[in-house]
Amino acid sequence: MNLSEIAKLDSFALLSPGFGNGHFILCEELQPSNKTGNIVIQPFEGEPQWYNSFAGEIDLDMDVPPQKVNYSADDKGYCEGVETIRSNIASGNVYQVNLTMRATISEISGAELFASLCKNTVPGFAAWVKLPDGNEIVSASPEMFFERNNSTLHCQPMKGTAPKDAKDWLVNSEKDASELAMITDLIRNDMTPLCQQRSVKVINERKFIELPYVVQAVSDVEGILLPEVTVSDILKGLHPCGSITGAPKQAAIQLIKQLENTPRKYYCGSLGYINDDKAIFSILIRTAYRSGKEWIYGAGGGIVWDSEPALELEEARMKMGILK
Amino acid sequence: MTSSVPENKSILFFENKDSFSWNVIDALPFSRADIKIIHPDSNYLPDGNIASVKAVIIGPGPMDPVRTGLIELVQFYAAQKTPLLGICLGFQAIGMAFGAKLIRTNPVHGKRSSISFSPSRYFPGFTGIVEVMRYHSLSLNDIKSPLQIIASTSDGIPMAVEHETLPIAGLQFHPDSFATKRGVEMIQSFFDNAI
Repeated sequence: MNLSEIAKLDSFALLSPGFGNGHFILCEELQPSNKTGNIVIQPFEGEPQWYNSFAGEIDLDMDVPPQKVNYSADDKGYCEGVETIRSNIASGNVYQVNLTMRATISEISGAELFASLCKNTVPGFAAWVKLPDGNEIVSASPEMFFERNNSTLHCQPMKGTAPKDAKDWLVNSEKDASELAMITDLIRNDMTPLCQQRSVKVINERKFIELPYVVQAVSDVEGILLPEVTVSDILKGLHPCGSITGAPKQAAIQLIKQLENTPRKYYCGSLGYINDDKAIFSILIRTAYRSGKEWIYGAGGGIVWDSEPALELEEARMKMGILK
Repeated sequence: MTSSVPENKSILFFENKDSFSWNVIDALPFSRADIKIIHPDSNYLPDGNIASVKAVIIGPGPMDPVRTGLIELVQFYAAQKTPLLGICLGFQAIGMAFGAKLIRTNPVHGKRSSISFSPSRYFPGFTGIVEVMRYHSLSLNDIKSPLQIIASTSDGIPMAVEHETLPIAGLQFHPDSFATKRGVEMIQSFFDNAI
């Protein structure tokens, strides 16, 4: 199967091997349904959308070459946003906020955008989705949200990214370590009411995942689910993921709504694939969604007390650089 | 014959819109079924069958004890002599209820500190240096009798207090964090010695 053939389908979800057993998965003919199905997508601000589809493992041929992607970022107010967050941290209103901006990508096909975002490597949770309502999403996400395997719930929050040659810097960065620790405690909190008492454990406090061009820090948290907890319940308890909100979640989301210029919609949402008792969800970071002929892409970072506005702006711009 | 069983939960947990509340609940030495979670607002006044309350925990949270209306709550349960543990925001509420002041300090979130515990009634097994996880921007200052400071950071920020006579203690750090290694034991120690 190749990208040009997939592009001709009316609705589909192409999922990279992180969602399956080491193979790409193609789900075809997505049919909206109510709280059941094998594909779920939940916008950052909205309710989960469930779809039934025909799923199968495929070998993917990336027959479409990557393109130069032209984009324009709306970073107006970003540095002021960082300062507003810092003053809210100083007065005790919030501990960390994930602040993001949008970029508009000029006309490009979904296949070209997928090939471009995956040109260095196909991240574990990359996806290309065309919904029956015409919405289209291209994601090069490296971040797993949660994995449910029978009664086990596993989360792997990610905080801290560095170029591959700067791994030592990331390992020793107290700021990045504190951001990850905070989100690890938040994820434990969110998992606990879904899980048996005292079953939620931090398996890895901080480990490093090395991709061909970057290294990223994650933790692993696991718990034993209470009987009869459904994927729908898990989403209700965990979405939106703490790694893209900040802590405490409620206060952080309020500041995000106040400070970001536009809603996030599918960016920072959740995408999941369900196969029998196994469900795997990604967080839709490094993600673009189609808005008419244009695409909207998002990037940002965690703002903490130690954040410097100019450096945070630079980091968000650097994350936009994946489009180049 | 069946009838509905009246709710009779003996442990009250005051939840303050935090993303760490369930970590505290999970670290308590009580069955989840016995814990009643209460979301106070600034007009909250305790009611119900006070005599059935075995212990009260005031959890962590954003903002400060004045804006969250927690100081009166501490005073109410202190008057009942109910065992009371305050964590982070709850610690600050205990301090302010007994005359301490709240000041801004350098925010520390998600970072570990080695703190020094003195001998205490409720945490006797922790005297010495203990590594703990901190999440706070505000700190207590001018803590006075009947509270005693029983732990501090190396730069003098109060990290734990206990009452001289009542079964009341507060922890500024998070014993519930994965990074506070003996945190669950510490919480257990309070209830073992206070109830």
